Amino acid sequence: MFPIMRVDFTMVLRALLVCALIAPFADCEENVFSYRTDALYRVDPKLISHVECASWHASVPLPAFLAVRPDGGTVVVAGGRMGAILDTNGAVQSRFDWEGPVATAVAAAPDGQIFVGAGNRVMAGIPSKPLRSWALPEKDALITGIAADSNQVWVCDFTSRMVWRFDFEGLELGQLPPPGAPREEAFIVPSPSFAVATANDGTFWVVNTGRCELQRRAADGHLLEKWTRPGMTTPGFCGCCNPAFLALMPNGDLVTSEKHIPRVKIYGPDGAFRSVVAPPALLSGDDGRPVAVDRSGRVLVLDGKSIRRFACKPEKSP
Amino acid sequence: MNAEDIKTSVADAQLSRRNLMAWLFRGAVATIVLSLVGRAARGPAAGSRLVWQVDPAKCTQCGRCATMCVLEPSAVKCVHAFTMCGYCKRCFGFFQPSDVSVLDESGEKQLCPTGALRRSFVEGEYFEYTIDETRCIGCALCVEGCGKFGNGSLFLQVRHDRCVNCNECRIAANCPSGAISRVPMGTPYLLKPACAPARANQPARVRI
Repeated sequence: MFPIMRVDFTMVLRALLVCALIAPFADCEENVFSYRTDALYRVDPKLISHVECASWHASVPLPAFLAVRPDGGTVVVAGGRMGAILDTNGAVQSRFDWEGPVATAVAAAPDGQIFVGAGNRVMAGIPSKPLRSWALPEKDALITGIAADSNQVWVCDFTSRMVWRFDFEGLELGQLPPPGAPREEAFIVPSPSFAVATANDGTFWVVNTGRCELQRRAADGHLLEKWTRPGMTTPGFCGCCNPAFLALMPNGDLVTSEKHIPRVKIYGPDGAFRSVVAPPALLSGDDGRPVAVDRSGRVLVLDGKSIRRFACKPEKSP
Repeated sequence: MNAEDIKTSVADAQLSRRNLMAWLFRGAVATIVLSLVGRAARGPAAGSRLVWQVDPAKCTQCGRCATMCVLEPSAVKCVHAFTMCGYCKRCFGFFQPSDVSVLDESGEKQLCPTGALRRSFVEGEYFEYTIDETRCIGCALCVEGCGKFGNGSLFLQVRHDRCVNCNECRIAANCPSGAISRVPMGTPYLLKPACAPARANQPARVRI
């Protein structure tokens, strides 16, 4: 009898020891339904062409949108009901604000005029003077992208999935797709990411996000070319609706910024993937980061409350 | 009939009326007492009774709703806020986060381990996604995929036609983010804020 009890006591001790050892890990149950996307966030370092060369505070409380003025490379940043003009070193040159809806897009024209999209209104002008404004024809419009060339402004409306064309005084010149256009020409915009950017040659690029497609259009709006690149890996546009933001390099290449997997990349006008400017590891959050390009081809990224400037690595320069 | 008989019959008649009034009074009192007893036995009013629910704002899609519920399959199901949905062709609540250059709806390309998320063509590039609740196990894979790569229109809710409302919910006890709590039975679902009507004349479309 005694030996049996002794054996039982030893086993109890062993069991207690095992329990004590595994107790710290008892709560670390692995999720058997885990959703693994880690690999998608990794970028081959060989694909990264740019390096961060400067960064400064955006100087507005809720910075949300970014543009570069062609007149001297000054930077326009807007967010909430306030905007600021910054010089190339980030010093504030002037500020402007307005009443009404918060900023949802910003652009700069070659003559230095600034265009701010706020809800369903476009505000335009020189910051030192009161901004003039006009409303889009759609009452519930939500402007998500705006771009200006020398005499007209393109405005993307998420609600109607249309791109409106105005002159600088707010006179409507046209819309895309035009009335009566076939259904295949409609923009597919599942979420409020609908960007537009003008090129130096008078054409402009607009994103058809639901198809992960970029369209190059003439100044009158007719389609010149388009390409699509859906994909989760680095050369593709991830998720349901990307890219979220768009800018153009002086040489005509496109700088795209994606949401979900935040990454800034460069593509050729023909859709050829060139390189990565900023991989996900360098950017904060999962939202798309507004981008702009200065006269020297450096890429500016609005990342949280900072404006970060990326320049081409010396060995990658053409 | 003499005068004495007449007096007796009048007295009997008065007694009957008194009896009737007394019985009516007793009946009323008994009804009130019984209704009070019944209400007490039923418990508190529906508005103040509590049921378990998932707060979508706190949910981290840990997968424990599928594995911890005492029911098989779990009483937690995915629900869809159609007002938030983009009706995307490339829905990453539906497809695996892999190559999507060719959209293949075969089982191995679908994210849902039980095929509970159904994809149906609407028009053009638009597709509608619905949940087959008999298959949904509440694993939240689609919720995570939709939140990460889409509008976040899919989310988890405890379905009260299945939940047995345990005193100590096993999922709540194991939820790492404290997303499961008791809510009043009068408002038993915690919907995403964007499920509210976007415009005054537009009804909310949440399929519960």
